[in-house]
Amino acid sequence: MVAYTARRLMLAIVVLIGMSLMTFYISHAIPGDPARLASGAHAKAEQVESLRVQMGLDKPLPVQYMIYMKGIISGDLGTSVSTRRPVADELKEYLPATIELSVFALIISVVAGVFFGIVSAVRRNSALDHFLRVFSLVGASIPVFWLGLLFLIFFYKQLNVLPIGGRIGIGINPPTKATGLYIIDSILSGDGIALKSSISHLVLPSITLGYSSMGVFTRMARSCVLEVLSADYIRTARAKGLKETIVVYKHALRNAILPLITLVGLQFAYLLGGTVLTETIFSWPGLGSYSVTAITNLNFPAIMGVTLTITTLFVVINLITDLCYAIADPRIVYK
Amino acid sequence: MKKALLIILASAMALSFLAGCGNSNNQNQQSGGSEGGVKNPGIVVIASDSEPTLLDPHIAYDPMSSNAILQTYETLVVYEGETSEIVPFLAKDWEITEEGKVWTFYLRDDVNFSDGTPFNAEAVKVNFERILDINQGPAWIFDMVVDVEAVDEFTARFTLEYPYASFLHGLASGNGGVFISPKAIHDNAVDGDWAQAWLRDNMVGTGPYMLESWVIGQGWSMVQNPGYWRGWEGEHVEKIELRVIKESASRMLMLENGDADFAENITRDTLDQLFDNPDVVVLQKPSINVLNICFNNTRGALQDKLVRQAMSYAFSYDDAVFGIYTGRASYQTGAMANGVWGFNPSLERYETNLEKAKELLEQAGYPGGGGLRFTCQTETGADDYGKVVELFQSDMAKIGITIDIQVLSWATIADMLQTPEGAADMFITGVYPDFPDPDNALYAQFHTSGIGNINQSFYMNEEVDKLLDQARRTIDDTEREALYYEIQTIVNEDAPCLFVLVRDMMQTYRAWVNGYVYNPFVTRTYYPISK
Amino acid sequence: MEEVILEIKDLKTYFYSDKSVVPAVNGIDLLVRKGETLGIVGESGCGKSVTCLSILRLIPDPPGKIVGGQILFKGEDLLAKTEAEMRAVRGNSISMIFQEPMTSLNPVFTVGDQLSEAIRLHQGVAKKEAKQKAIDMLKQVGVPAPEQRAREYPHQLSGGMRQRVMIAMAISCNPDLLLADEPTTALDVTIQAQILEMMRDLKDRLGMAIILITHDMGVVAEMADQILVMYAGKAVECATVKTIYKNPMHPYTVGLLDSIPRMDVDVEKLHVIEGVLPDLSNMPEACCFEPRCPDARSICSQKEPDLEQVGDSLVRCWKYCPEWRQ
Repeated sequence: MVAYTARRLMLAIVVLIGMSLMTFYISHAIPGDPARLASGAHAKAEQVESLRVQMGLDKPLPVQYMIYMKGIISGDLGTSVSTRRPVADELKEYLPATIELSVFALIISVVAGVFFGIVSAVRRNSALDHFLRVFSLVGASIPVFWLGLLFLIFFYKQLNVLPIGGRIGIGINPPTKATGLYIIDSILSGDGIALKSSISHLVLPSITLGYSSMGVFTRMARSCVLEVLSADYIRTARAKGLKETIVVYKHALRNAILPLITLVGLQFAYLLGGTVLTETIFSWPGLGSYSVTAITNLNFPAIMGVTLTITTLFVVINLITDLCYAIADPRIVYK
Repeated sequence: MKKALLIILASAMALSFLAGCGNSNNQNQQSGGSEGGVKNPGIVVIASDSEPTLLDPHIAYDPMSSNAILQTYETLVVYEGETSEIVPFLAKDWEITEEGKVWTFYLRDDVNFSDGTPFNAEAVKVNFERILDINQGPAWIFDMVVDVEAVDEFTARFTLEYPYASFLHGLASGNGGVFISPKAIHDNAVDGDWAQAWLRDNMVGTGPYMLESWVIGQGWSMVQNPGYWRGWEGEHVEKIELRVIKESASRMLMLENGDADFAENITRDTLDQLFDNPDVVVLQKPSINVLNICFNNTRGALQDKLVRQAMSYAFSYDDAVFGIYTGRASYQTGAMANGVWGFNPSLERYETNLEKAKELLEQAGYPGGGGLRFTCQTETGADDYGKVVELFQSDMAKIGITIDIQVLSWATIADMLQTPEGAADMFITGVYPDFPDPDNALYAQFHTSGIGNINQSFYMNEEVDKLLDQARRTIDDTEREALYYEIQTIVNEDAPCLFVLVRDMMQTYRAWVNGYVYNPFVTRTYYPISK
Repeated sequence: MEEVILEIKDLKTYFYSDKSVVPAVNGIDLLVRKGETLGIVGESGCGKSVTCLSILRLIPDPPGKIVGGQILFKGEDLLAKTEAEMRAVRGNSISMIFQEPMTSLNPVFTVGDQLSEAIRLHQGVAKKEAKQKAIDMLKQVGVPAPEQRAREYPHQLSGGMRQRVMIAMAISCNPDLLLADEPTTALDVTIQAQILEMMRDLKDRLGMAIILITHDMGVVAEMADQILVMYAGKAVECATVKTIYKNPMHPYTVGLLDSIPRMDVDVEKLHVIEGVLPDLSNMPEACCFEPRCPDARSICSQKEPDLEQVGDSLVRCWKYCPEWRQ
């Protein structure tokens, strides 16, 4: 497994280099001058020129790329054109927000989706089954934007029980930064107020985002469980005198979960890259909104940073997924 | 392993529900306690669609950065109330000598920076050296400054390259002309960078509020500067908090719920819902923010003044002002908004007149449009601009001119605009002067030297160039006014742009906010505000 | 006479679909005594497995349902028990081994885990003790290196080993009755013999009763005391092994016996019972074997015969009824 992991990681580096080349080329091929944009409408030619030199944009493209890649090795992702802040620093702010949101959304969609899928399978063709299937289909087809707004009107405006957006309440300071994940940070620093506030801020966005990807899990879990429930070893388990819940949740689920693991990996990657709309509606300061701003401002280093981060995460998640698969299924051995 | 996972999941779910409930209790208590009263007393909360790009006042040059900067950093002079009248602030008094080339400011002697160091002539000198040396963002406003000298501890003298009448406006606008503690600049400088890296996220000024925190992507908060020179007598808020709320609908909900005291940029079509709400004030004021369709004056038939005039006559201004902008705008006459000093009231507005337009086209040698075809660019994401351009398209079709609309990102359009050859035939843009002086509103836009810069219609008129140069060097206001009247008349006649309309400023805030004064020329400050 | 372990009276298990009802088991009676082996034979789809699953009440519902009869296990009617009571029976006093050792073990748990699961469940012993017991059981069924095997996953074992594991699992709680559904069908012939030998040995040692389901007349001959021949959900003949082999009465039984190769008789070609099982969902009121029966007469297609005592056997065939001669 170690050799396998090492090989996969080597491959990941190749993927990342390819990806960086492509993004670098594409983003620089877009017409537009970031130095011009950053120096403002009234800037004189020499002002723009000095900023261009400062940003290293005067050098030929391959040289710029080499400089950029050299920086990456030492953790330097360049400087944001619009804010003049190191991109790495900005990613450290935005990435944890997105991860926190996607992880919670994933937990919600997996837990709810798989549970609904199992119930559907166990009670197949019942009214409950039909209801759950429609319910999850609605989640997959309802626009995130609309659902989010609906939630806000109901939970914020009508009931006033959940906040409108952002990661933490008005007048509350974010917890001392360790991981950037507010929930973990506030637990680590023992900050109860921040913990409560950050959880309540997570509820709506993660449900909104999670609901949209829940349907996939429901459908997959239902068909997997159905398939597994008719397997011989399930009959064996029943013949042992095991309770139906143990039969379903231990013997069946453990097998049905195998194809779901791959799905979880894929969906996590999808959620990470697909948070833009949810982030917008809930003012969630994550990578999604960051990348949109970066693209409109032709902020090359930021675009590159986001792309590379997402790619890295994608590769890592995929690898972890495959390794999890091997752990969950003893029949699979990576050499 | 599975069991462990389950436990984690289950506890995470349980936790979130617990927290959800706990929070609801909390909020109920809060709202219960403030029944009929003020929510978040002592804090003014601004729900804004964006946040500062950076906090360095000598580099930042956008409204949202200014919004934060001007709570902490202060200017030598300010506009009085809602007017464009300039009154003393950090400078008690000033003197203009040598026909407007030398400006001497007598500073207050009771002002300290929030780090305890005194504000004095040396600080003025250091700060202006910093602006001009960094030479970015707002620095262009002061590019005629040759020298700043500390005459004595509280007297600072500026020497300009040429007499510059609107220098005072430049200082009052708050764009760049504010003061950072020289100690902070000195202590945090790295490799002679004037502490640019540090001052990006940190602020040390003389103003009433100090930065408490700025969490990028989420907003900033500021607290009172206890040693503020104007003191804390009377009603003030203890804290200012800006929250980035991307969705207009969400900002509106926050305002309605009282969680936000100011909601910025509420989309026009939803504003109507707020008019009946007694808890909310919707302020509609004329601004100096104009909307133009800039013609490329160097391109083909567009070089012909008659063609440009014809197009200006063919546009249906009423539909734009009352249709697209639902009356939250006014007619624009000439290149400058009515609110700017020096506006020429005798100017004649282009009113919709198809007959005249057709006549002019015929005169220009394009009877019935003559198969004229132009490309008009508009930027992605700007819905109103798109609608205006579509209206323009259908209006031009009435006089036989075909318009192709091209929607591009602003970055791309801006890049193309660097040369007249690269630019498209025309594009739509908003122009917001930095200060209400015709020099700022007209010089960069219509002087030949502004090409590749803000002169985006590539308008070249030697007469106008001469007059603009002359006007900016004239100190006497009556003389200046006459010059600007003349410039406006020529520019209006030349119609380098189609002057679409002047957008109104819409501000929505809670009725419990006291002391708010709208000034169309500067970012609001929260010092006089209470709730 | 030994005590009666299991008695089934008129068991009916039907399968329902949208359009039709399939009477997979349609009125079976049988009786098993302590230490006795009952062989149920018949071709695929005749209802043998359904009978066994009905005993454990493991018929998937829907679509299956036990619609009538009694299953008396040590005098108690299993059909009257609650689901919880039933669970205490399954794997404990009645256990079952299945035809497919390759798929009957859960691929994601170790052999030891799966074995000890039932032990812990029914005997209430601690995890560690159950594990030890599991290893003992593996030893009993002749699995070499049981400690190591217990840590392995099913896919690491051969088919024969897996069936031994299944048997170990089934006997781990000392059942009174073992239901063996074609335990050797999927195995190599040499392995088959070993497994059968082991089962016989276990039966003698543990004194349990066995219901052995098979379509292989050779296997029953070796293992069973009593034989029940099923056809289309019904018993067609029931007698001791000796009786049946010596004097098979039902034409179907005769056909089955003729289809085993025999060393002592030289035949050119093995006997084949022509035709296929009838469509159970659409049975005529007649002898169900009639379409395939070499001896059929007109009466066979008119009325269904009853199961009658003829000599030492119970037979369902018109041949032995007075009406035959009419």
